[in-house]
Amino acid sequence: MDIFNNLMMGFGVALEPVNLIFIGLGQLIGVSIGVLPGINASMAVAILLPLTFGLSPEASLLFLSGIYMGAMFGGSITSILLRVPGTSTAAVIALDGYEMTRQGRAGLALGITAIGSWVAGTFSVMVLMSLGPWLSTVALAFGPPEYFALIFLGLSMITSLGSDSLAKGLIAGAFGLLLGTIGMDPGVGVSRFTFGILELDNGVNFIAVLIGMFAVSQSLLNLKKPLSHLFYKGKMTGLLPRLGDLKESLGSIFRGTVLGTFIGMLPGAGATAAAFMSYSIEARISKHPERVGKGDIKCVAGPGSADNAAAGGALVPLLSLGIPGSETTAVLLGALMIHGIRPGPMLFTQHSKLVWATIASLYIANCLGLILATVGIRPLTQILKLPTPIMSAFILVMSVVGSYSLANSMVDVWVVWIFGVIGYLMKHLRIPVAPVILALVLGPMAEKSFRQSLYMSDGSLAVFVTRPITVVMLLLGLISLFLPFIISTVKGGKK
Amino acid sequence: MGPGDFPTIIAVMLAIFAIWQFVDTFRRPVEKTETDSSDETESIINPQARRDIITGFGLFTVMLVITPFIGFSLAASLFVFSFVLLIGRYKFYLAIVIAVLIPSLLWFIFAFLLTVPLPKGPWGF
Repeated sequence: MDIFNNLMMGFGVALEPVNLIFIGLGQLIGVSIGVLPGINASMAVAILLPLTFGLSPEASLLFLSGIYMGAMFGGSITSILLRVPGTSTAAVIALDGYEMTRQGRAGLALGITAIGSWVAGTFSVMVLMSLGPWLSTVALAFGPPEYFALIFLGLSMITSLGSDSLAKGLIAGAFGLLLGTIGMDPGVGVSRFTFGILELDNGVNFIAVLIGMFAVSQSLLNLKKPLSHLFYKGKMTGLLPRLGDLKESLGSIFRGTVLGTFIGMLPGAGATAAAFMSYSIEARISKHPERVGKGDIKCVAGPGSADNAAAGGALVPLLSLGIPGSETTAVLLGALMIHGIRPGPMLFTQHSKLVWATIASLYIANCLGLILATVGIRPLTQILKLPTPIMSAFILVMSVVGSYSLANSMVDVWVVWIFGVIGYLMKHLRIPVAPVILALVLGPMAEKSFRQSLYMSDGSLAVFVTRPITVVMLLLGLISLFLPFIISTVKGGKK
Repeated sequence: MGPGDFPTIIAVMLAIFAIWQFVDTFRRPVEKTETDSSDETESIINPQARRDIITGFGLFTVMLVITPFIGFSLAASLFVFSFVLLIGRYKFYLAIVIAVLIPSLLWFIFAFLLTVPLPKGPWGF
């Protein structure tokens, strides 16, 4: 069994004491950050990424994915206890989770979320394990036209799934693509839009863009509503669910897990969408519709599993195709590139140790999460006592130091400043931020494969319509882009 | 296909999308969706909150401008001090403590542990 051997090797690396410490540390930081409202997983990973420069590629990826998985779970803790979703993903868990708390069943709600997360994490890692190597072999046969079509498909899904207004999503995506053209052009090496700033020749550092758009703009927005005196005073008992509760929610956990994993693999959909969809499914098929919204354990278990499953699923396209489908996986891609690892279909063969160690670490992080959930919930809720102004000041200074250390230059710090402003304005105008980041990352890849395709065909665009896989993917991209628009127009016309 | 073509295509697309959004705004002027309740994007009504955000952003900008001249440690201390004092409305001495703690912690992590050459002032820190 090839996969089994690889997995054993992965566990070998991940269980090395140093790496184990980094997984645990990442998980702890991730959960604490997930607890804090206004700081989401991608922001956490972005501002903590500079900390990993000195580490080995393995340790830094394990650390960052620990944060990623931990933040998912942390968000649900405050959702359930205080109806303050730490992350947008957890917002839907707050609906029935907080009701359960009010009924004195807080422990049960948290326990079932932890178990659901664990099941979901395990399942999505298993999917990643079996699907990843296969997908990457398929992708190895891809030429530049197929690669361009694949990126196009990914980008269109990100823009159409990630926003409620298609026009705004497209604007965000095109803006990101345009940002991606800053720097040396991939064909002949001409500097574009750099205004003579040498540091920009390698392009705008997207980690700096991300820090600006998420960390800076968000920590300023957080000043709007002080969160002081929000902490849980009640008693926490019965963390371990009884057999009856477990039996009741088992189906929901499985539905949430499978749904979440596959939604997570789609670019742009992500954990939040998965959690919301799982909730609506649970609400619809419930045998006791009167209980939904009033503390139904199924409506906690389903979304609580779906979000973690989606987090694992999102790693499938990243590790097998080198294409990130969410902001957080985009940051993980940045982490790989910083260590000189070119993500793509070659990853599974060239850096198998790293990939399998990451997969194994997700497993370990899952189990650590379960332990952390049982012993650490009370101290974790105390984090909420941290006053917003101090937190904001800390994050702002951290953004400066972090972005400076990307290349030891003030240029990146000013990039952070500029995108802090842009991010703030975009949030105000309700333009989604995620397509910008992903288009900025995928844009240069798209341009490169587009131009390589044209070199192959001596400049003829026919290369994109004569290859079957390319055509199918391009069509799927167009459909996913305009289907919501067409549906809403037809519906509007009938009205 | 030269270096300028790809950016041109995208720029044209961006212009089209912008016009589309512009027209859309007039066609459906009042758009109230259920997402309006999300506090993430709610428009700022509270004047004090608005003042806090503008102050915070101003202080952040000042920190970036003065960092190359007086060094990271001092610039960050001044930033945290005024931020906590003006926005957090903390007591004077508490603000000083926080203003020393946060930059020291970050200096320790980045400059000492990770050996990042953070910008220094003329006095060597």
